[in-house]
Parts: sequence; structure tokens; C-alpha cells
Amino acid sequence: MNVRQIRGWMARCFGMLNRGRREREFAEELESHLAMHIEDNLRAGMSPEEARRRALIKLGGVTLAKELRREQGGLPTLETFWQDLRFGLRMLRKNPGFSSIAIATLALGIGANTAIFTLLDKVLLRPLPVEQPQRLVVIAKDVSGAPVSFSYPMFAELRARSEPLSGLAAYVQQPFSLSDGSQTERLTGQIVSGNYFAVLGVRPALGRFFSPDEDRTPGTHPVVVISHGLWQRRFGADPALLGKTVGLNAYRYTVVGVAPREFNGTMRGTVSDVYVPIMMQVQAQPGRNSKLDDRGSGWLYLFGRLNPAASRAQAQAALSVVTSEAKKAFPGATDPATVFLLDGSRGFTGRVSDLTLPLQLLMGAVGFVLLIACANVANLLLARGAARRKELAIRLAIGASRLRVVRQLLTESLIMTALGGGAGLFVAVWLTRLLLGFQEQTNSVPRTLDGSLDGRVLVFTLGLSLLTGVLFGLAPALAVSKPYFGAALKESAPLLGTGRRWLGLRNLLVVTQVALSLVVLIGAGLCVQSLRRLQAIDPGLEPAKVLTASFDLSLSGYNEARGRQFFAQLSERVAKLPGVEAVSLARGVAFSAFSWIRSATIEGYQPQPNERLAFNFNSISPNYFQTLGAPLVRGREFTTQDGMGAPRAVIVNEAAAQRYWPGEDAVGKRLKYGSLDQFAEVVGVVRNTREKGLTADPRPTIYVPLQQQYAGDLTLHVRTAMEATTMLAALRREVQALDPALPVYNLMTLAEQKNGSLYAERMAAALLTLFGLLALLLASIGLYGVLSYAVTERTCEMGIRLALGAQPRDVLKLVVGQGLRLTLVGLLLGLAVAAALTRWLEKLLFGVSATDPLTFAVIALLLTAVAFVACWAPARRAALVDPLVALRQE
Amino acid sequence: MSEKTDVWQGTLALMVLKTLEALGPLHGYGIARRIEQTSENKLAINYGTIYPGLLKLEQEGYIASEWGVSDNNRKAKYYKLTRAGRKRLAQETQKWETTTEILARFFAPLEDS
Repeated sequence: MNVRQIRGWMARCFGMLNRGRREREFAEELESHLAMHIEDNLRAGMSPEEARRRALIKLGGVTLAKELRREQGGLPTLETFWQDLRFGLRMLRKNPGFSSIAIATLALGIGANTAIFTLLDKVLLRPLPVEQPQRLVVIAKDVSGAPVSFSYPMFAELRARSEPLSGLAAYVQQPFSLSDGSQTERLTGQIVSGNYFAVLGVRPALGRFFSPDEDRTPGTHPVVVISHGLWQRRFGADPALLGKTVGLNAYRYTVVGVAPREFNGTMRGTVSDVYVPIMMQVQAQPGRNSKLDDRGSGWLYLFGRLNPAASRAQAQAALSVVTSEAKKAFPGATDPATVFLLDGSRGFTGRVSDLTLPLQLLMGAVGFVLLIACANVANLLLARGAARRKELAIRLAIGASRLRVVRQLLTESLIMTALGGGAGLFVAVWLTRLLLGFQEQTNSVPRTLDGSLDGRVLVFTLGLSLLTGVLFGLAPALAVSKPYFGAALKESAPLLGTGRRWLGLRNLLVVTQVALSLVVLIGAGLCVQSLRRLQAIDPGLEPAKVLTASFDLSLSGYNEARGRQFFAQLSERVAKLPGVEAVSLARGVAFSAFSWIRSATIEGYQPQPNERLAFNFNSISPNYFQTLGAPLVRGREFTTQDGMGAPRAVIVNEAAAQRYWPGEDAVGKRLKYGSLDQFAEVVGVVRNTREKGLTADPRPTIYVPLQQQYAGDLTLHVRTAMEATTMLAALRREVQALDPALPVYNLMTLAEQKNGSLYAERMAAALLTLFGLLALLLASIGLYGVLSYAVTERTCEMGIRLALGAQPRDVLKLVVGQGLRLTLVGLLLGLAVAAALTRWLEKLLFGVSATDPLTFAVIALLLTAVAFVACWAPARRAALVDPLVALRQE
Repeated sequence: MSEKTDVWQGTLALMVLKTLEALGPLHGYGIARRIEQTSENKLAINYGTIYPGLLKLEQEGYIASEWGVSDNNRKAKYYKLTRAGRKRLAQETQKWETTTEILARFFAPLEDS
């Protein structure tokens, strides 16, 4: 396009302004044109009439000339659109009932989709905000992506010998206690290899990332990179923070850089706030030995970046050579002999894998809801199109092209979907808040959600509404604009013929709606049933009565002696609080992600050749089982007598007792665990608890006395009949009285902890129910609409029937029957679809078959009942038709 | 009746420009009339179609218009060439000549070599 053409288009744009003046001016120009022509013609000897007639013919008509010029003067496409827009808005205002139902329907459908897509996108889909994320690979144990950890020496070797990778980096999640001034808070961070940011290709928002020097010698470079969020929240986005020191796990680090705003670390579902170099491992993990030379402890997760020329398979082969050689050289090492390289563009997804299925499920459900909503709108458009048949027929008859009419109808449906999409955004915001509500009740799920809707989602919504508008506006527009004006113009057209065909389309839509909503409802029903069964499982302890408060003394600079003193004082103080029935300390928290697995040897038990005796472990103080309400079946609890100097004592659960001493009394038997050189005696047997997963079979567990196995990260368990919030506040006060700078977390009841472990199931059940009911509502609106329309169309027929002696009851039956027939067809279709689809649910269900006949039957009945109600109103209207009035209408 | 051809827009624009160059400022009626006369009535145009063409040329800045008074003392809108218009006309003329020259060679009877 050259300058002149651009100038032309601009002139046309401006031409749309003060059009009146321009048109008057042109009228004048035409007038002078005609006058001159007539004069010439007169001079040529014509009569005045002839002169004028000829001039007009030669001009081609004044109106046409004006029309042609008008088109050139402005932008006709835009102007027509503008006209259609205004007309469409006027039509919407004229039918507020129709408009609000359609807009609300779409808003709900689009809003639900946006919210779920937001969640899906944030939790699963979006690649890491790094350079060329598609070149990233994560190192896994198998093709399913099960994570595997490596020792530092193995990592160093792999890094040196992985040619197909341009870089290989390592990291591990680590809790940090950040102290700066008087405030101390608990954060999640990562211990990372020096090249971590370089491999990711992230640039700092401020300062720098780690230098090669900081990745070389253990303990010499206490430097830290902090997240953008932490920098803003805790340090007021102060650029002068660089070069200053902050306390992390009771060690001073110099802040050297701030990570970019959108970067949350490589572990999907968590937000990392601090990054310290791997050479600071001993300082960052107080109380642990250096692991930098230890081939026996796997603790690092690896990811790499592929060279532009290399493929994943090549890199995998190259790395596997290194690992298999290492396995031969160090058979005792924990590192795997073979590795798998998987797509790393989305980081490590292990923590969100539980959410994948529920989210996909919900996406499917909201997709169905949107389809139902669209069917509703299409239905409404068809109904209204039918009502406007005459108007459209007249337009077509006086020369409007079909394209023009279709365009106008499309514009109207686009307005509606645009409004629906706009309102849908509000619905989405609201629903996202609801989703965040689920998240807040638990500490074991993604923290990366912040309730904001971003540009991508906005585009998704917009696209969705436009697609809806075009797709579901086009069919009715085409159907309605068929040029059969002859029939339509006739007064009595609606009775037969064309009306029937539209009705067929509308029936089809309703049947689809019923079927789809049945599918969603059955999914919801199954999930609710499954959740109820999960919640009814007896966990073997009393979660509602137990409160927890966790702290990690090792991260706050306590040594063992001070730690023991602190715990003794705290237990004593809390036990004195009014309303407290029992107090105990333990390392693990039931239903949390805590996992401590060790091996042990049982005296007198000969393991099979390949059998590894692995036990769940927990360190507990006296009264633990009393506090949790888990009864001992044999023996005793630990007491203060099971101290450091006393003989080693352990308590085992029934699963361990039955497995290793079947038919015998486990009390008095002996076992060895960890690096103990002496045997410990079993002093008690406790009932199995299902704290490691409600559905998993209880695993053999060994409880050891805290006195004999100190740990700095402990959780206070308090048994009380009192209301939780008051007691939790009191607990926090007691901790702060002893050490105001000690961060406390996990302040909640065990019941909340248990609920948190059912996060995915609860979210699926609640949202599917919500969407199911929404689908039901929309489908019944659809049914109601179709029947209302049919009744209006058949008013005359009803009148004749009544006049010929039909009872109102018969008419009622006729209409309700019609509605129920549609419902029935939809139900059958829906049942078939549901039976085929619900097996996707299977993995999420507990104790319910994916084709549970009871659920299928109950939901089908529910839907029928609702359908019946939706049919009733139009049916009554039909039954109450006054034959005289009805017949006079025609 | 002579054979009459339809006029397509681009060509019409060119004719308008040429007419204005030859006759100086002129009103729409005059331009239409002149085009018809020049073509010796082989070209039948609806005079009405000249106006969108004139408007387009004006929008693109090749011609300018102002109200004036005709020979018969009648108020009329006069169009005249702008500098850009002259330049374009020169270019188009050049192009046209080249094109016809080439085509002429194709349609010329084959000469023995």
C-alpha cells in the first residue's frame, strides 16, 4: 500500500464524520451537473421534458449516484457493522427477558471455562518462564516421569560428561528460616548448582546470579538470590538490598540478586523464595553432614538444556553411559544405573501430578457446560428468529441480500456473546476465588495460584465467546434467512412446513443438552459418592480433636541441648493451658506429605534374598497415642523413662507386628534400625493408622522415642475438646513467649490436614456438583424454551382440540408427553455417553464403580423430575387456552 | 450504433487526469462529457459513475476541488490537477506507452528474417 492509498483510506475514515454536510454539498454538485446538462440538451433542440429526462438517464439516477458516492466517501463495511450493532443493541433492549437469559447462560458457561482454564494453565500447561523452555529436559527414573534424585558426585560427573546437553543443573527443595531484624519467617527455597539460572536462561531482575567461583569450594561463598515476590513483600523492593546480608537458617548470606518476577523455581506447584548455591549445603541444612562427597545419599534433582543439534534420545543415551559406568564402579551408591530424559519445559511436575486428572476432568465438564449454554443460545436465537420471520422476509423481499440479513443476525449474536463473555469474566473471577478457597484449606497443594486472570486467559475467553457467537449464531441465521418469503408473508404460515423443520433442529439441541447435563451430573454423583466413602474411612485416630503446630529449631540455630530444653518447656507450658487434655511431640504430621522411610533388621527374621525391610518411621514423645486417640493394642506408650541413657525402646504398628511376628506377641521382641549397634525392644503395639493416605494399606511402621532420637523439626500435637481457633491462638502465644523469632506453621487441626490430603477429590466433587447443577439448570431452561415455543406455535391446534372436546388434562398430557419424550431420548443418549466416559474417572474414584448403577439411576430420575417441572408451565398454558381466542388468532 | 465498452475504474481515473491536464480546471459534467466526446462516443458512461472516481482521486490527493462559476454563470464544483496528479499522469503515460509498445510488437504481423 503506498502513501497515496493510505491517504485515501484516511480520507474515507474522516469521511464518516460530518456526513450530512458532505452529502448536501454533493446534492448541490449534482444539481449544477443536471442544470448544465439540461441547458446543453435544450441548446441541442430538445423539449424541456425531454432534455431533463435524457440528462437523468445519462446520469444513471440521482439516488444511485448519491449511493455510489456515499460508498466511496466512507467505509461501508464499517458503517454497516455500526448500523447492525446499533440495531442489535436495540433488539436486545426490546427483549430484556430473552437477552438476559441468553447473556447469563453464556456468562456462566464462559466464566466456568475461563476459571478452570486459568487453573489448568497455571498448574499444568504453562511452560516455565525461561528461555526456550522446549529445549529443557528433566532427568527421571522411568518414562512415567517418576522423579529420581542423585548424589552430588554423580551430578558432577554427569555435568562434566554430557556433551549433548549445553548445561546440566541440580537443585533440591529446602525449607528456610529467614531472619532479618526481629522478624523470622519460614520460606521454601532451593539449594541449586551454580549454573542453575544459566541453564534455565533466566536473567536477574536485579543484581546477578551465581558466579563460577561460588560453585567451587564448600562453605566459602554465602550468597543468596531471592525471589521477586520476597524482595517486594519483605524488603519493600529496595534496590539497596544488594550487598546486604540476611539470616537464613541461622547463617548470614549476602544478597547478590533478585530473580525475575514471573520465576517461581523449577518445582511446579511451589514458590521458591530463596536460592543458595549447592556449596553452602552444610550451612543451609543445619544438623546434616556434608553430602558433597557422599555417593550414598541421593538428594539432587537434575535438569538440563539440550544442545541445538542434539535430540533427547542422544542425550539420554549419553547420560546413561555415565550412570551405568558409575554403577559398576560404585555398586553401593544410590544413583540409578539408567536414566530417562523427559520434556522439561514445564519444570518438575511431580507435586501437581495428583491434580492433573481432576483438572482435566473439570475442563471436560465445563466444556460440556459451555456446549449446553451454546445450545441454549442457539435455541433462543432460533426461537426469536422464528418470531422475526416476517420482518426478515420483508427485508429479503425488498432487496436485501441474504448475506446482508445473515450478517445482521450474526452481529446480533456476536453482541450477545460479547456481553456474555464480558459478564463471564466476572463469573471467572468469582469462581477462581472459590478455587483458591479450596487451596487455602490445605498446605499440600500448589501455592502458585494467585487468583489473577492473565492476558492469555483473556484471549482464551474472548476467542471462546467469538467462536460461540459465530458458530451458534450462524446456523440459526442461515435457517431463518432462507428466502421463502411467499410462505412467511402469509398470515397463517407458522402452522406447518418450515416451522416444523426449525422445531426439529431445536429438538435436537434439547436432546443434546439433556444428554450432556446427564453426563456431567453422573460424573458429579460418582465423585460425591467416592468422597463420602473416603471421608467415612476410619483413619485409626481422632483428627477433629487434635491441633498441630510445627516449628523447625534446626533452622533457627538451636543445638540439640537447647532444643531439648525448648521442647520440654513448651510441652510443660501447653499442658497447663485450660482445656488441653494431652500434649505430645512428633516429627511427622498425620496426613501431611511428611515421609521418613528407613530400613531395619528384625531379630530372628530371615529376609528373602531381595527383600529390603523398609519401615515408615516417626519420632514421638510420651503420650503421643493418647493425644491422637489411637489406642494401643498391646504394651505401653513411651514414658519419660525412655530417655537417652535407658535401653532403646520402640513401638510398632499392627501391620509390622503381624508381618514379622505373626501369631506371636510382638512386645518384648527386638529389632535394630538406622546405625544403632544395639537392639531396641518393642514395648508396645498400636492400631494401624491410615495417616499416609486413606486408601493405602497401612505400612509397617516403627515409632521411636524422641528422647532417644532427637530432631529439631517437630510438631506439637495437642488434644482438646475446645474450639480450634482460640486454642491455636493460645498455642502461638506460648511458642512466642519462649522464642518470639521462631516461625510456627501447620497451625491447624488434624481434620483440616486430613481434608487437605483429599484436596483433589474434594475439589472435583464440589466443582463437578456445581457444574452439574448448572448444566441441569441450563438444560431445563432449554427444555422450557422449546416447549413454550411449541405451545405458542400450536395455540390454534390446541384451541381446535379443546373446541372438539379434548379435556385440559389431555392437552396437558400431550405437551408434557412431548417434553418427556425429548428428555427420554436425551437420557438414553446421555447414559450411553456417560457409561463410555466415566471410566476416565475410575482412577479418581474410591469404593464406587465408574458405572455404579445406583448413581446412574438416581441421577436419571433427578433429571426426569426437573424436566417434568420445566414442562409443566408451558403445558399448563396450553391447557388453559381459550378455544375462542385461539381460533380467532388465525 | 457503435460498439460501446464498459469503463473500468483505473482507466477512468487516467482519463480524468488526462482531461484535466488538457483542459485545465473543469467540473464533473464537463469531464464526463469530454471523455465521451474524446472516445467519439465509443465509450458510454453513466455520468453518475464519474463522481465516486473523482472523489477517490481527491481522497488520494491527485486532484483538488473548489467551487467556482461556469461560463454560463452557474455555480459548479471545479476539479484541477495537483502536483501529485501531474506526476502520476506522467508515470502512467510512460507505463501505458511501454505496455502498448510491447503488445504492438506481439500483434504485429511476423516479418521474415
